[in-house]
Amino acid sequence: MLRFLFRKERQVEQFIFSYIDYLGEARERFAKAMEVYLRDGLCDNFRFLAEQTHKAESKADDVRYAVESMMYEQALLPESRGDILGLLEAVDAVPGIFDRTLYTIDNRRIQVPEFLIAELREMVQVSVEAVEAFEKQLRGLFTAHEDVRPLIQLINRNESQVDHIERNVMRQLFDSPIDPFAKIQTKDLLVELADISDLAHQLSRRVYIISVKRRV
Amino acid sequence: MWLLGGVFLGWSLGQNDAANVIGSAVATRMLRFRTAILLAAVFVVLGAVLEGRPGIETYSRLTHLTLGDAVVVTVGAALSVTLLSLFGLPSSSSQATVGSILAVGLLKGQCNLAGFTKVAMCWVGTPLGGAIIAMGLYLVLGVVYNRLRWNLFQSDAALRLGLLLAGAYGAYALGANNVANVMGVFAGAGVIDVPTAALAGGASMALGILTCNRRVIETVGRGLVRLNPYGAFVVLLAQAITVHIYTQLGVPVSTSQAVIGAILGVGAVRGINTVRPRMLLHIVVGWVLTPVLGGVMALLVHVARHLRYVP
Repeated sequence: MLRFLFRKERQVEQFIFSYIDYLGEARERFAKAMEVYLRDGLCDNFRFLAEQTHKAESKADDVRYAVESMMYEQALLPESRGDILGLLEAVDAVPGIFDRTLYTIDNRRIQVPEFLIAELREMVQVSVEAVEAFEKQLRGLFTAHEDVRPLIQLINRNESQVDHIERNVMRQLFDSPIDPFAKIQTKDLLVELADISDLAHQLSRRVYIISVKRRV
Repeated sequence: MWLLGGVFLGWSLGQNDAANVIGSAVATRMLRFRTAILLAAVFVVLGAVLEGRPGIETYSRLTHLTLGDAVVVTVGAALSVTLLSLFGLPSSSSQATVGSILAVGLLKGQCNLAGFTKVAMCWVGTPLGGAIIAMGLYLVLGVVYNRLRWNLFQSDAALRLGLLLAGAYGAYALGANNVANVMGVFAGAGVIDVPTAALAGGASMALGILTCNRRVIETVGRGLVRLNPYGAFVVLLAQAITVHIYTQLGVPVSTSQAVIGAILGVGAVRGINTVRPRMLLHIVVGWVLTPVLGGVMALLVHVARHLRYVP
């Protein structure tokens, strides 16, 4: 539709899709890094994947700044501009939490007790699935090919499941006779992991509100 | 030289009403300010030339005016609009002009009361018409808009384009409808023929638009878009349609009152209170104070015109 009139908007659109691609890249690298960590512990492969996650997060940041600059050049209606800027700023916490979690594990040399590994693996898998569903939802907002509503239910389910696992693991952790310092460290990791699906849930509601707002 | 009163009125009308038609397109950066005023100026002249005739003929039939009377009417109307603006009160050129014509007509004992009644009824019908058309458009276009299932970028692009097109249509309707305020009395007095009156009136309104204040345009436009972009589009379109309908009836009306009606209509459909005291003041001043002041100013100009120096 008269695309020549909306050159700046098309550039913003391309940048946003590129941002979602980097978000997906950060998610995949984080999932692989956690898989390696829970299987092999702190190793070079884990550190390499943590570094790759950090790079994807930085690239996503760069793209977000580019989108912000274009928005300040007055692309789109003020209402759409506010929605997109606010949403991207909130979404940026997702690659941030991936990067921070891996950094925390490496920096504090966290060792997850053997009896919790299976449940932690499940927690990571369900959380990553929630983020993947959110990416789909976000892409749907900008393409209209995907209905954003069913994805909210999926993300909501995953978030509840993660909460359930977290409570279970927490109870097992504090019932166990392991060193109290190791308990605190593992607890911090659990809280960070649970934050991922919480964040995906909050963001999916935000995307839903933006899509509903556009209806007359 | 005698036409200068009309040109002055056209210039102030163009300056005052430009914000109603292009404000949204400028505020949303759909158009640069210069492009927007140029576009509006072109459409105002087009509207005046292509569809200005019925309004001009209505004013010609309200009373029989001489060239001197025509000058009294336009200067009286222009002074009352300027005075109201100086006191920060909303003004309407249509209502000031009709008040001035009525005063001069009464003075001469020549008044087409049926014509004045038709005009006054249309004034009441302007905000009402704006509200009804806005409600209808909001609901009908809303169904289409929702079914299209556009993504954020598509709906944004469509709304910005809609604001631009509705603005251009609004400028066209403004020119077609309000040109009678500016030059109608001169055509009625037989000073110029109707096509020349339409061209001169359109050109003076275009001059007003081309010299209008950018900040006023942006402030009014932002206020409209804050309604929500779809609501702003409906308000602009409803205002243009309302004014265009009255153009077909040959009655010049206030574009600001059509906008107010449309805003109230959109508010009613959305279930929100868009009534502001300033809007109601605008309508009351437009219906009562402006024509009365227009009449008083025309009488004063008439008296001043007949003053003679006696040594």
